[in-house]
Amino acid sequence: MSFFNPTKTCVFSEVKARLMLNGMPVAGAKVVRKWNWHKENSDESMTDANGYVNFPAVYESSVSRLLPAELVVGQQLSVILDAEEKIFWSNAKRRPEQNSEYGGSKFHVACELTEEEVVIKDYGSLMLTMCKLEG
Amino acid sequence: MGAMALSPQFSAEIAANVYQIKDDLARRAFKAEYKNKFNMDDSVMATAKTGAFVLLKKPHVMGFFATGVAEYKNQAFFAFKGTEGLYDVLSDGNTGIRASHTGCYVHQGFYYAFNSMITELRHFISSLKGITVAHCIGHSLGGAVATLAADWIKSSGVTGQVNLYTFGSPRVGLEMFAKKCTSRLVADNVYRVYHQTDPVPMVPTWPFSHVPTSSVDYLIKSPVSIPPWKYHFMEHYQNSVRNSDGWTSIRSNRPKGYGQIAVENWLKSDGLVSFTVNSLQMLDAALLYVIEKVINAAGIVIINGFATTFTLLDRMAVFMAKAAKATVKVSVWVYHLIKKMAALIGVVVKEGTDLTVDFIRMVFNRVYRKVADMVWRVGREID
Repeated sequence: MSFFNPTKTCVFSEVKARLMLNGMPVAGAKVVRKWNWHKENSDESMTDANGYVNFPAVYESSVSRLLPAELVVGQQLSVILDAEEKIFWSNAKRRPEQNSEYGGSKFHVACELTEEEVVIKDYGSLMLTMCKLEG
Repeated sequence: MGAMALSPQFSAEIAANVYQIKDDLARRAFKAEYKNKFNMDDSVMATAKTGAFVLLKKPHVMGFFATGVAEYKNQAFFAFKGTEGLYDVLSDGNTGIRASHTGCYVHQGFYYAFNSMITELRHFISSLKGITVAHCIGHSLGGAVATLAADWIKSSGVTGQVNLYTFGSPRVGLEMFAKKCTSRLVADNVYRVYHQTDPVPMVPTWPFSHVPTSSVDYLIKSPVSIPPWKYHFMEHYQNSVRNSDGWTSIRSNRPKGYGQIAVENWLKSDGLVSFTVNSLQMLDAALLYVIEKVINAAGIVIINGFATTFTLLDRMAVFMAKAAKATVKVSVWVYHLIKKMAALIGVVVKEGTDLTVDFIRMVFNRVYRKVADMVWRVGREID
């Protein structure tokens, strides 16, 4: 038997992203993940030789989940290229479950950083990114 | 239907997406989405030229003011989200009321939230020219603030047409406010959308009233759920209006409520009283019934004088204690009401009990707190 904690909230799902620049993998670059629920937090990771970067899921708790209040977690992914930060994914997470960013699908994306960002409204929030969900 | 109304889908979308302005991370996508609908040009924002996008970040209210562009040219938008702090305000049994900026009594918590942005609102309004319609939009506590904003904007005369769109809004003010606001905005321009099982529109209980006061609503059927406020979330409101074919398709008559006989039978019955959405609605009807009876038969009034702030439940307790000592025709109903309310909190009132102000105040406070608990603080959730 497990005890369900109603205040526990997935504030950023596990991420697997592949970063490309002009069709070439972005290798060895620092990727910064930020999120903001009741306070802003961040972590970092590096892309591998094939441009892949991974982040684990992050959970936080707040008693605000016991109120009929909307869940809004600001989220962002950026990469440092030539000492400049390039944001490639922004969103507001509106549901507490893992993988709610993409409506239940795993957060596996491919991002060609030269492409223009577009607004995606398919998953219950406004997401701004050039990344595409990988099947 | 009112003139120049936004569609149910677009108004619900704004009510949902205004939540994304709260921080820089989420606001990027908001700006990208609405840059072709609202005047959000950064250079305009920086120089504060006419119609600049105003971002509100106050302790109890967040939102934006903006002028429309392209298809929304000559239109102004005022959208609000509530903040969690306001839920505590709404749960406080010792709530006060304040005269609104247009002169009628409203919930003190909403008054202060609205008052905190009045300087920015005045500045923005003074910069507007040629606006044909203002749209005020909000969900939950943001709906309450949107209602006060719509009322004030209409009274400012900046535009002849103000449309109000609320989703799951609580009651904002007393009956006189609701009547005056309805008359000022015109009922057809008010789109009050609420789910049948959303508890937030049920509070604060009487004597607070909804705007509009007409018999028309946009009531959407919804099932009983766990948690009880599930159908309060904007996700469900957006789903509910997604396939609607305009406002006409979701327009409905307000439920008639409980008749006099049903209310009298409930008051006189000795049956077990449980705390459910139905008993809350019945309690609401019974309070209204008894208070009207007292006012009509004994001429006792709840609110008099020119006090700008006072505790509403204290006033109600004094009112009921006076009524309990009035004619038998009136006092018997006060006795039944207090007995019934006491039963809701597990207190037995025997015949002949002296209904003092202190006792009635205690009953009112504890019932109010229990209602608040039911609405806000159900601590168990099922995965």
